Amino acid sequence: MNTTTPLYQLINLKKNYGGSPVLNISSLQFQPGKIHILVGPNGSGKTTLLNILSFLDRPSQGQLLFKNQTVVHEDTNLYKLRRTITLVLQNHFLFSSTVFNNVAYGLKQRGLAASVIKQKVTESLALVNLKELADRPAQKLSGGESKRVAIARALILEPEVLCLDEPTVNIDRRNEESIENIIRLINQDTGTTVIMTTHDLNQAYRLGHQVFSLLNGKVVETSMENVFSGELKETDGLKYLELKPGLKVYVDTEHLGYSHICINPRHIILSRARFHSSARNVMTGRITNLNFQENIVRVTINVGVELTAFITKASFEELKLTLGETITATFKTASVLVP
Amino acid sequence: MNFWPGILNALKMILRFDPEMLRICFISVKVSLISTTLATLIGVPLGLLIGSKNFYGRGLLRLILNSLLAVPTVVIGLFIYYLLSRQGAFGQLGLLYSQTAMVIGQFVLATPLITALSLAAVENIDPRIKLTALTLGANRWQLFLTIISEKQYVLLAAVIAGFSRVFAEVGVSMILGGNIKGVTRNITTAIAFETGKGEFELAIALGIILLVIALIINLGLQLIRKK
Repeated sequence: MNTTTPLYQLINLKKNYGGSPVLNISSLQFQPGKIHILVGPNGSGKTTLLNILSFLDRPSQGQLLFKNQTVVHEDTNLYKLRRTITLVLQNHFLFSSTVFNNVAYGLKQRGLAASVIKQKVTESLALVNLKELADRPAQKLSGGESKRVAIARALILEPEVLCLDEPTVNIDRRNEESIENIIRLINQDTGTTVIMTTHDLNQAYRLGHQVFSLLNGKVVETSMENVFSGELKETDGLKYLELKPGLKVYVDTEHLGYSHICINPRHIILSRARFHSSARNVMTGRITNLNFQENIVRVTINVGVELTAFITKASFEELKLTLGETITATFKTASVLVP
Repeated sequence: MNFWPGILNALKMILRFDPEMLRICFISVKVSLISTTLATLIGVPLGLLIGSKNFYGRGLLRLILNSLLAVPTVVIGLFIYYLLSRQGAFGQLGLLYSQTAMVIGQFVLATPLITALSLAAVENIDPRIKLTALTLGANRWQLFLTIISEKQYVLLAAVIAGFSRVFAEVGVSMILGGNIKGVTRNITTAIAFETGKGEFELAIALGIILLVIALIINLGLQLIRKK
């Protein structure tokens, strides 16, 4: 396939549950062969989007194109298209049978010969280091083992697209590393497109070729740092969200009431002292974390809540920031996204 | 009749495998097995279908099914008697007082029960079963088989409950079978008949067998429920 052709194209795609919108995406594309990461808080629509991309759920409105073809959910042969994509659910389900039978399930549905199935299952279990557990009842595995069985069960099908919903949530660090390595390996060796959701931003940047942020069902351009939620209130014509008593973030919005907000970390100015400016939001706090990435430094400041700012390496060296020192963060209301 | 000699003679009858007693038991088992099998073939898929689809009138359908569970067996017997009697809609088939008539009656008795229990088994089914099966490539038929496999113990319990109901019923068998010796006389009709005649030995022997079978079935059911 031509690599410039997107694997998926979502155009004005909406999904409503019981009348209320959970997903509202005007335009989104996924390229083949890449690891795509969806980040966002609970209820932002990540799982719904994964279900739609796996053809397990249908959009309420809009268009979903897979390899330039419109997906027709009414098609009785949809299962054939579904067989090119496999989703590993966040709270995955193992059938009440042995580990072997769980991993073999998809191959059996495809009518493969028993000898082929046996060989493939053995290989697949070896990949996730669970070969010796083949005959164990699947319900008796630990959380991490169980998750690896669910991943092996998906990988054995050699899908074009592997969708993973929070694959490393609630499992220990060792299993998390093992799962991340499997994801990288499968993407590099077979060119499998990976679309996964996560809460963990470090993981997102560690693994992903592309990171999308979802907030209230919409894809937002900023990174998913500095997401807060609460009641938007108004005093003296100024709208704000109180992060904690006395700590207000002023926002520029038409809405009031409960909402998420997201402060763009690239728009936060760090300075040693307060300076006079038109920016409404000025907060002071100690630096609690410094995270060095390719061109930027992620600086986390405790201003009462944790606030993350992205600055360039050059600025970092100029300011000579150190852990524990006090710094001022300044940003405009326009830098606060209210989706 | 003295109570204890009656029991003793009944036990002797069981131990010497009295041919008349065995024939009665065989008819009971045969008719109930056939009717339960037919009721399972219809009731389980129907229950799964109603339970897994959301459609207008499902609540009403469930109400009807549950009401059918409470209908006395003699009423079902009577209703089918009317259909099968010479003047009835199916009178010319000449099925009345045959094992076939008993099978039909017991089928009508067991189907709503098996359907209602199968429906309950899948109505609150873990939605992840369906999602997992579909994303791993199951088509509709394979999904159906996966749900049956995941719910096999609950569905088996539904079938056993259906069998228990028809095996122990007397109204349908009496009205539609007519208690013809060697043809339609089963355990329950024989007990009623022998008791009426004042001959308790066979009645007690059959009663003991019925109780033992009911006990075994319920023990099995309990074991299944524990799984």
